[in-house]
Amino acid sequence: MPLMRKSLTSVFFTLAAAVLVGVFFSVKDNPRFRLDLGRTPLELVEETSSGKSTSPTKTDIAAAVATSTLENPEYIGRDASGRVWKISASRATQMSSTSSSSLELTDVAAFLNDDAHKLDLNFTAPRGMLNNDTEVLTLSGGVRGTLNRP
Amino acid sequence: MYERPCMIRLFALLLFPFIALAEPIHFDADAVTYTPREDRVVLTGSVHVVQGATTLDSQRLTLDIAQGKPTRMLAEGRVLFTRTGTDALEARGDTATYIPGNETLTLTGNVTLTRAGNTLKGSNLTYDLNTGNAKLTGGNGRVSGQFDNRQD
Repeated sequence: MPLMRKSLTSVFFTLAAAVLVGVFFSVKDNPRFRLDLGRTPLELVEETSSGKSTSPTKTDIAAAVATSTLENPEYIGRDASGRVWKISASRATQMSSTSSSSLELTDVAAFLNDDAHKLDLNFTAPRGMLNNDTEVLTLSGGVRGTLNRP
Repeated sequence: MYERPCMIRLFALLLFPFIALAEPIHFDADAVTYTPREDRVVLTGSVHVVQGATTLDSQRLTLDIAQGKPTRMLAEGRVLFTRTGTDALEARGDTATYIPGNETLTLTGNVTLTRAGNTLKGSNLTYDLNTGNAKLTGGNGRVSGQFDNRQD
């Protein structure tokens, strides 16, 4: 009898394993199901004006989104017309995915300066979003600004 | 047609352009969007603009820039323009357009102009920031108004 019970137990576990393997392969490539492999932490290092800053980021099987947080960053650039723009913030979170890239900003100060035409436009706001793809800067949460006219 | 006495107009003509050019424009709003490719700044939500003795309130304000210069300021939604001082007035409308070059403010849609206790209503107001002259026209050629004839 013990031998028979042992045989039955072995058969049961073999069948169970076969069923699990079958379910795994049927779900794996089925678009109606999504296998969550969990979030894999990444470490990104970026240079800022105040030094290095690191933070954990996350990946997702549906859309790979990476984030990194910078303290006291400054972004300075010059457009094709020669105007200098500068954005500073107490904190910036870089949001990058396969389809877009943007910066979430906290305590933002934005400047647009055109020496050639003496244009001087500046804004401050508690929050901001800079879309790197469209180059559109949106400030929110109560905005104050000044336009010094030529 | 609203006109100030000749001496006041002459005084404003001589003095105001220098004040207006020297004064910076201050903005206050819930949010602002800057689109460099379009050279456009859009402020939204309880927009308040101050330049010296003049204020402009609206729900949305679009500032167009060309070759480093602001070329047009368009205010939309419950527009209120005020000026304090010797040439004090208050004007309301649906939209207002300000052209920095010729210092002209144009209000359109359900315009109400109040100055020195007198109120005029029309559909289009052109206000010269240099001279203080205001021209109000009605939608179908008619303007309605109420004048305060009390003697202070």
